[in-house]
Amino acid sequence: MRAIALGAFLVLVGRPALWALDDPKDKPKAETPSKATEEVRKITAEYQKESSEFYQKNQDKLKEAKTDEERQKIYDGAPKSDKYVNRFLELAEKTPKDDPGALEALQAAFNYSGNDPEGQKTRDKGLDLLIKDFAESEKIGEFATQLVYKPSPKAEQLLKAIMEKNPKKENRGKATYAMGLYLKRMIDLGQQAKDPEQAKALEKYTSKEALQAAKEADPAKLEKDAEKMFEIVDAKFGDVELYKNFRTMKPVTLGEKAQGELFELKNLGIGKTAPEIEHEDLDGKSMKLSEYRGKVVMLDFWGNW
Amino acid sequence: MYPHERSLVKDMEGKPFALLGINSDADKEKLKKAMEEEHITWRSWWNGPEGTGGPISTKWNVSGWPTLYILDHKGVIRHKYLGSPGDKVLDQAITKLVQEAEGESPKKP
Repeated sequence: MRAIALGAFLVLVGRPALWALDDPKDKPKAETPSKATEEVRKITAEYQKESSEFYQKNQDKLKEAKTDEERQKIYDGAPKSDKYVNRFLELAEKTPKDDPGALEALQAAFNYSGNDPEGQKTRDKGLDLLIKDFAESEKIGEFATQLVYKPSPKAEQLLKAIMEKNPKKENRGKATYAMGLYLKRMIDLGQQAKDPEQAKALEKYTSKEALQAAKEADPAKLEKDAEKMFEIVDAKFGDVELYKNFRTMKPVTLGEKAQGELFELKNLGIGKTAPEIEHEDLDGKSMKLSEYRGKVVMLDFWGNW
Repeated sequence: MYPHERSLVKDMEGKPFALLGINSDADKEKLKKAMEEEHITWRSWWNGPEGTGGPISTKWNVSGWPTLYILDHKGVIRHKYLGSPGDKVLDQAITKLVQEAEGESPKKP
């Protein structure tokens, strides 16, 4: 389960809390879902069923695959999401925009959109609709952070629109935080694109325009802009809750997240000396990073899930 | 990723290289069983009972797993990856840095 190169899927593994927010049990006022909402759920279920059948069928092959190339070949055969994404878009177009189902359909279109050129084109269509009609929407805040994982100029445009137009403080705060993440992602993309081997992989699952923009941008300026975003978040939106830790249920605020980002920008960039890690190892013995000075170290933040 | 990490540790035996984990499993006992099955021999810090919300990953602002940092022999961050960039990329980056480290402290006859 760990060797997942695709960014989008990584998010699902790494941020379960964001998704927990969509859990119906978190919404005490159980409104009857609109027809459009029901349709979104139906299309989602169809796609998930097709996908999970594919992965079940290929489970053993994936386990036996020895190299990334072999694994990628299997992934390449997975069901394409295009037809489902198109259905989400059609549904959004014919649903009145004050029906919650319209925004849900567009979010699903974005989240399930593929990263090949065709998928990017359909994704942009959905983003155009979002920019035009949903920047002021009450429920767009959660979506703002998801935009970062499939960067494109239109995703950036939507973030800007939410920051400027949305009447709710919470949503503006989340969009500002997401904009900081977006700029940071641009720094990473530019850095990775310098390595020919990585650039090849990136081209496969990143929008061409975003990659081009990242290559041309000045990383020092991006860094400064990102820092500014997180400083605004910390000062103005620090008390906004982003999600609850899914284990402890403790709320995680935008202020904490922004401070973490600022720490990373200042101390964990390429070329900085890694800060000390001094904690117990898995056997309860004390362990220090500085003990390994003199050796090349690969630090792997991992989990067996 | 485990098979590649296992071969990396094996290939780099005797060289100035260490693979160190920061493990974010909340259930340590279950993890240890899995580690035995997967022959995971390299050392890891434990991120504590809060799992992904633990102190090390919080300080390092980790938002996705795996996140990888590659440090040179002086402790300087030379590469970082959210998600594995692929076996080839990792091998190349590490080999180059190990050569750098060996170049600076040539083995005495």
